[in-house]
Amino acid sequence: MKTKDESKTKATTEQVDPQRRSFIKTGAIGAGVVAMTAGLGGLSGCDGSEKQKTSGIPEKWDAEFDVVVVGSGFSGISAAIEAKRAGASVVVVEKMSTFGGNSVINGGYMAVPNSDLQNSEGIKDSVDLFMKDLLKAGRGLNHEDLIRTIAEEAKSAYEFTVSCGAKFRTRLSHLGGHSVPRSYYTQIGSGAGIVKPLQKTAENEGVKMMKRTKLENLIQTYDGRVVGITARTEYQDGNENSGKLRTFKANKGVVLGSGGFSQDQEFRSAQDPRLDASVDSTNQKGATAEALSYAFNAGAAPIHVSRIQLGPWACPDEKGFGVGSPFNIDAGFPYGVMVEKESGERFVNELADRKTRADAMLQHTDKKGNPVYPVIITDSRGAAKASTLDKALSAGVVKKFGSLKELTDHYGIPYNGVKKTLDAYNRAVAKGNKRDPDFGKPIPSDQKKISSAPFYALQGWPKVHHTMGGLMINTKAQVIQMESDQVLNGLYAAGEVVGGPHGASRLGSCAITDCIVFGRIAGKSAAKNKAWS
Amino acid sequence: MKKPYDYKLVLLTIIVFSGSTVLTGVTVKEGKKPPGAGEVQQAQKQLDININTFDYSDYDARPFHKEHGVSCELCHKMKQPKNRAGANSCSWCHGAPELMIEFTKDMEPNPHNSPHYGADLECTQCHHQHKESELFCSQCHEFGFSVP
Repeated sequence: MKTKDESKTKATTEQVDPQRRSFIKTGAIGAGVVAMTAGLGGLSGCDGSEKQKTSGIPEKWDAEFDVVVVGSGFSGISAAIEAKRAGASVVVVEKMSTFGGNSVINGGYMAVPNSDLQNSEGIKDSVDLFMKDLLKAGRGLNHEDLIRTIAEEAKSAYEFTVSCGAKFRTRLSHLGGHSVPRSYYTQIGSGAGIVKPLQKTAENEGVKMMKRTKLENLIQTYDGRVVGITARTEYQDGNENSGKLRTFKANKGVVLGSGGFSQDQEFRSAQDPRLDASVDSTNQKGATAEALSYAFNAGAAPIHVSRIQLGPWACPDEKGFGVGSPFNIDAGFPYGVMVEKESGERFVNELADRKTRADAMLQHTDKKGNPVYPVIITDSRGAAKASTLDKALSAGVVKKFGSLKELTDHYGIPYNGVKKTLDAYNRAVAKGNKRDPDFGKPIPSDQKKISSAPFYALQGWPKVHHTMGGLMINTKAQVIQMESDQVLNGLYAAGEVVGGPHGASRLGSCAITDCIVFGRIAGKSAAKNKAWS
Repeated sequence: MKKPYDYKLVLLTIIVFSGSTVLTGVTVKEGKKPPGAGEVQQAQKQLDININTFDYSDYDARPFHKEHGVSCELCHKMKQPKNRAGANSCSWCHGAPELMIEFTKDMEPNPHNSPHYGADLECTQCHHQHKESELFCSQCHEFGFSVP
């Protein structure tokens, strides 16, 4: 996270004379950047005409494109392809040493209402039903115009990825929170199955791709129009002084497809103080908030920034998503119980939505606030449902116990408490209840009593997975200003850097759809914008 | 995972570097064509190590390059390097990434052909010359490969 530069505020509030149309301001300039972008910062004392002409905007740009795209994930690459196809010259800058951002490690599910596959499988779906599902998960905070756009353009976005070479399985998945099966799943089981073909398409069609190139600043005219960026080329991840600062002119616009900030500990814990270093993330380490903060500094309106989604299926004994998460999704949560260590009692519906579960889990701390990890328990019949069981066992994430007593001794949970919990759950199973009477968990139709040794268990603790909040945009992917409801000319945004579509909590498999729909719109809109000169 | 390392291509490097006749083809100048896989394979015959049985698991790439007379210039294109070696430098001797995928095809999973990056991951994401090598996958996975 970059802290807001005070000199900018000073410059805009004290130095600016609205009559001077030639006066240029810069957004979020750090001292180092000022010194290096053609020595232009230092807006204080800017009352002479000499300085007015040069401040902020370099006399000579290091590179010039019609559209500059920040980020190389689903959103950025989709934007780049569409802008290029609309006739613009396009560069994609990616700060990491690999292209694809989080999208290459994404799970690969893409929700598409009214798809051909739904038709052939006889599944009835609609734009309204899709929106209803998103609104329910998002606690009604979703911006409806944006999700309507996502719903209406989803099919076209799917076809776009296929035309670029993405390959999907021929069966739809029914993910949690969706009323009907509507999620395509990539053949390779990762978002890389989409973003890699998109990247190849972009390269083949003449998009310039630059990795190790980190956004350091948005460059604006006094009017606020975004006309370029300062970027650090040959950037070495983690070394903020590496490489060289260069200016990229964006004749038509800058598209931010820079992703979320799940790995930005400082910024995310400022939004949600529970999310300190004790909470891991499923994201790649480049998922930080600096691009978002530059856009805020440039005048963009923030939406839902503190709405941060945690994955409740994660395990604290491994990194990232790992092998424990799929174990919990396939076996632990549907066919097992999650208990607190202190009592051995359950405390939440193990199949509630992500937010409900994660919030309940995070309450389990000791007096000092340190986590007391809940334990997820299932038996041999439940564990058989997990495709990652072997991997999870060999990684030591999931543990196997000959008896329930061994299990409770290992984790230090009262045996009687766990016994009582399982007895109650098993009674509901034996009665054939559709839901357990204590927490309303939907009991799977093929659930058997949890009693068949060996028993399997793992510790659980949520991990930061997605940041719903970000920049305000309209349905043209134009960024909206904080000070007015006007468009911030020259700045476009798509994907996780945007706030609004997902409200309080994002539904699984809707990120790819959001990113590709709005990435494409952003690219087209930017290419259409009147060129600045 | 099977045996820890079958680092055939790493060996090819040494082969190339061992034979000065081969190295002349690798003299690094801007724009000079790097050796093709065929040239590298030809060089292999000059080596007295059986590349199919040699166990590379205990080796660190760093002394290997230096001990076999690899100059700074070969990778960095300058005698007293100021910049990082280019991403393609390794391929000049070790072959294209696709070749490396083929050489480790029996490893599970194949470290050179991940579902996320395919052949696009730069060699130096894992194999370092001037610091300890690392496993890029370890950011999320625990595969337990040792990286030369």
